[in-house]
Amino acid sequence: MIKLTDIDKTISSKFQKEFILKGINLEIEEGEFVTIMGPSGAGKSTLLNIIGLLDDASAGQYLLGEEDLTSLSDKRKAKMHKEHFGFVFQAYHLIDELTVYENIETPLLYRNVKSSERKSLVAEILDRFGMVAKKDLFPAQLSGGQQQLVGVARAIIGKPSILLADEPTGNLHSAQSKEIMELFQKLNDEGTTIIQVTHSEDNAKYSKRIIELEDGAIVKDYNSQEAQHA
Amino acid sequence: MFKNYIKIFFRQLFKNKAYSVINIGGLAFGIAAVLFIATYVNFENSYDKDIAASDQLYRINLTSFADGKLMQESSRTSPAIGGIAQNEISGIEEMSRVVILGESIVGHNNNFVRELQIFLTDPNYFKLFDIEVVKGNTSEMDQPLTVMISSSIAKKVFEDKNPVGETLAINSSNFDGSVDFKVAGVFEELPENRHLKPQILISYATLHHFIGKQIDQSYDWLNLYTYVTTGKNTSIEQLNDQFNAVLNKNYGKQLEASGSEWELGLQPVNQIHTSTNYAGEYEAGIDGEKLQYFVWVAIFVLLMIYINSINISNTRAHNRVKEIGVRKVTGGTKKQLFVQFIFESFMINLLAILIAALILTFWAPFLVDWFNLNITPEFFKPTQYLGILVVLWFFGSLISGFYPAMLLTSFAPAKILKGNFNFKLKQSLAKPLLVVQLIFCLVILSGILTTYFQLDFIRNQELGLALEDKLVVRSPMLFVEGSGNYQEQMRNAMTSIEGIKAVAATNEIPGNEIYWRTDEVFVEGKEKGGNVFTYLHVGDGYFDVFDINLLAGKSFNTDLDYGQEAIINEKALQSLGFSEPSEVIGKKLHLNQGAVPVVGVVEDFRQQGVKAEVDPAVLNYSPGDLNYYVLDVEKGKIEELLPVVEATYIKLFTNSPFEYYFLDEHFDKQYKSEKQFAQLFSLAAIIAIIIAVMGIVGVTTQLMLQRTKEVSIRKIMGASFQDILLIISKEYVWWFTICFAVGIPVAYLLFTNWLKSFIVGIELGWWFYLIPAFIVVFIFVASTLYQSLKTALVNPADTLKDE
Ligand SMILES: Nc1ncnc2c1ncn2[C@@H]1O[C@H](COP(=O)(O)OP(=O)(O)OP(=O)(O)O)[C@@H](O)[C@H]1O
Ligand SMILES: [Mg+2]
Repeated sequence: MIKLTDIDKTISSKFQKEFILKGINLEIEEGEFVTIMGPSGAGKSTLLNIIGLLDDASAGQYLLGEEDLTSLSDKRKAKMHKEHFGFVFQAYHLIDELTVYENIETPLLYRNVKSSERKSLVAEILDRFGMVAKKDLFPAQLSGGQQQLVGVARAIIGKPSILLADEPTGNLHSAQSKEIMELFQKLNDEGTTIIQVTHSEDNAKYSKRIIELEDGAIVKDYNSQEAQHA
Repeated sequence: MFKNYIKIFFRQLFKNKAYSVINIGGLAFGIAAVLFIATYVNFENSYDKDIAASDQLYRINLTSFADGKLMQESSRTSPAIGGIAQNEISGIEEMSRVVILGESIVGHNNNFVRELQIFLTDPNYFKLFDIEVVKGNTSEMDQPLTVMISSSIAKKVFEDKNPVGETLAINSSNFDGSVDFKVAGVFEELPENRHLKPQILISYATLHHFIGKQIDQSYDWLNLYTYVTTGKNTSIEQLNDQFNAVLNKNYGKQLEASGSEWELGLQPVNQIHTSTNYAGEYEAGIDGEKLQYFVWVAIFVLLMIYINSINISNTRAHNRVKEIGVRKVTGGTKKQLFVQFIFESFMINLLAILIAALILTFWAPFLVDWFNLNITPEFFKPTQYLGILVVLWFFGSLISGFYPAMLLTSFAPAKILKGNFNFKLKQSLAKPLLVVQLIFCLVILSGILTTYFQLDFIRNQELGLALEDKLVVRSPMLFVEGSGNYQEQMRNAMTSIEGIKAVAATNEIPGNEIYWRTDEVFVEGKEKGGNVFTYLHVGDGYFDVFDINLLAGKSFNTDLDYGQEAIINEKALQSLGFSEPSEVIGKKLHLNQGAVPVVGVVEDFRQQGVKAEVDPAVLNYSPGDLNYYVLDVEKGKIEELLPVVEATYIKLFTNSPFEYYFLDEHFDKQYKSEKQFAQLFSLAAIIAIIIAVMGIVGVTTQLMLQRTKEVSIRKIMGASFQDILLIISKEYVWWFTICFAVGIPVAYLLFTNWLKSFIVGIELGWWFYLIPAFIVVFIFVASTLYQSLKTALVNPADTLKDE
């Protein structure tokens, strides 16, 4: 489904070009659950942002299915975000001025979903996440774990084919982390492709494939379950 | 979707209350001030525009030249000019002449009032000026000794009685006593915004009755206003040519003989109030060019408030970045976000204009009163400025919303959502806009200073006459008291009061125009100069009381009767063809009443301040009853003696009201429009400055907050408090340099131009460059001091530990 070929990401500092990502070749199939790991500064977030069209690669080719996403207009990017991608952030990034309900509803507004349908979709997801009682609270009134649940709900309400998560549990306790990871696993079972970045070995265990990044290059790419057996 | 925008908008609004108040409050106050100014300008421009055929109504003005030199542009013409208009010009439809009678006492039975707005005119006047007759009709207005009165005069004099057919007595110095008139009708009160607002209109035929029909043939009785209506689409230039050709044919020879030249010109009546070019206007108009300055002031205020709003939005940008990131990654396009922020700007501006309309409604009556304006309340009805509000809403929203929307939507979501995104104001236009605001402050302050210095200057001009410590008492109502030798009685009674040095009687006090004018003044053996002389009767002691210097000859011989001697001023001396004051003494001066010897020459004195040029003046002695008694009071005793003077007056004249003025205050009234200009200008300017200060505080606070970390690190590295202050203020020095380099030349150009509109203008001295600059620096330092000190005194341990 996702195919990256010879992707480079460079930044030009005063005297020279500096590589953040160099020669990334990566294929991810539909329905996979992939974890990207690596030391700090390795380029994990950069890679995820390129996949999620939040950042442009400096060189190389990016195919999503048949479609070439290498350099898109702002409008096309917004369209891809609506159709394919859901994002979960370490810092949740909920809009402080909107309630739980309204935060989850926001992506539907950009998809021109009818009001009645919006209501039932949001109600459904609130029910599923056990947040019905909290729907009129503002983000500041929730715990971190609850906020991240809302973050995930918002990411998936538009039924994206790919869910991207950059350290989704970085700010959470282990119990809260576990809840989120189990949710991811369920979503993956239902067919959503998931790519997550994490430092936690425990979280990585939920995925089937681990990609290790170092200094902007892929150093390992293996099936986590098989590796454990070996 | 808009529901979502509205929710966010209001929640943001209430979450950041202080900034919302500054933003919306600034806009609202600015807009209210602009609306007030707009209403004022609108009102001043509305004069005579309600007349149905306003665009066909003109007044004939006269420009006179002597020996090829421009002498005067005058609003007054002579009766013969009206005759030409009526009979010899094709393209003129109707003509009407208006003569000023001047202040009189009018009454019926024993009910008397003093009235100023009395004119003589023909029946045409009602048609030309669209005056509604509510009782009686105008048909009798071609008969002598007939009047039409306004409904308010009808009420005052006749109370509930129907005035039509009744007798109205008018007592005027121009009639030498009281004359009875027949009331032909009552007309509707005229609106405030008319250049003439007659209360009583006497038939023009009355003039024939008193001085004969031949007056209509006179070219040199330049004493009345001539109005005409033209056909639709008639060329004014072509009419002017016709007028001057006929004038030349009829009167060219006589003019040539006296070395004069006349030029007639039509002026639209609806432009009379906004021009100050013409001498002899009944009521001082307002300089249309000065009104233009208000348009600039309004634009200034608007720019100020929008810049302020932009800056506030920019400083609040960091509050919105997360939302922008989220909206972008959930599928919002840049365009949709842009629409959202512009929408918010429309909401902010909508709230602002609604509040502005409210402020204006409550504030306007107070301001009108405070500034002594004539604006009538219907000009403040919201329907009057709805159009402006809609325009301000639309453009204001775009102007104040566009840049912040561009700035906000430009953020890349990848950077924002990383978590440690730190929006720096450096990335916005905050600093350049702040400098622009400082420049505005500087220009506005220079403006306030210039207007006040100029106002002060014209009020303190050398007038050639002393106005301080003078109490003016009006003459008693002669035909109530019966005429007698009141001048003598007044002088004796008043000078016997301890503290009153002298009493001088006069027909017109300084500050008022002398309406009695004639060009029939010449010295035997010399030709008439063609100049118009003012003619004034004064009593004993006039020159002493006003401290007017005698250049040659002596004062009047008070043993003589009325009008036996003349004293002239320097202007008159020149007009009569003399250069040395002593040469004219003893010469026979021909006046209306015959030839009398010139006994003295006095220095020119400014009867009407610096707004009008000094006219050639002839003064006659009169021991009889004159209009005013000027009491010369010992310094500082005027308030104290007032009750004593009143008691003395009432004892003498039991049936007349005691009416008085302080002469210096009365004289000052002629600067009303200058004073209004200065006050209105200052009001707008102060609002603009307050708004700017709010903006400066907002932006610098944000800038300082963003420098706290830098300052903390510098401190750890050993920088002292002074070092830090130096670093902080280094940037300010740059801002001020730019501000002065741009602001001072702009102010200079603007205000030298403005000063050109005065007969006497001040020089822009060192104060013009230094004081505003000093105040700008002061305002800036005062409004940033708190935050600067707070930043410089920051404790590094506190700020750096959360990193
Ligand atoms: N806008 C940028 N300008 C300059 N350098 C950047 C920029 N964004 C990222 N980098 C650099 O690129 C490298 C990779 O950054 P990235 O955020 O992808 O790392 P990461 O693997 O996600 O690290 P972490 O685990 O700490 O989140 C880092 O060395 C960072 O300094
Ligand atoms: Mg990262």
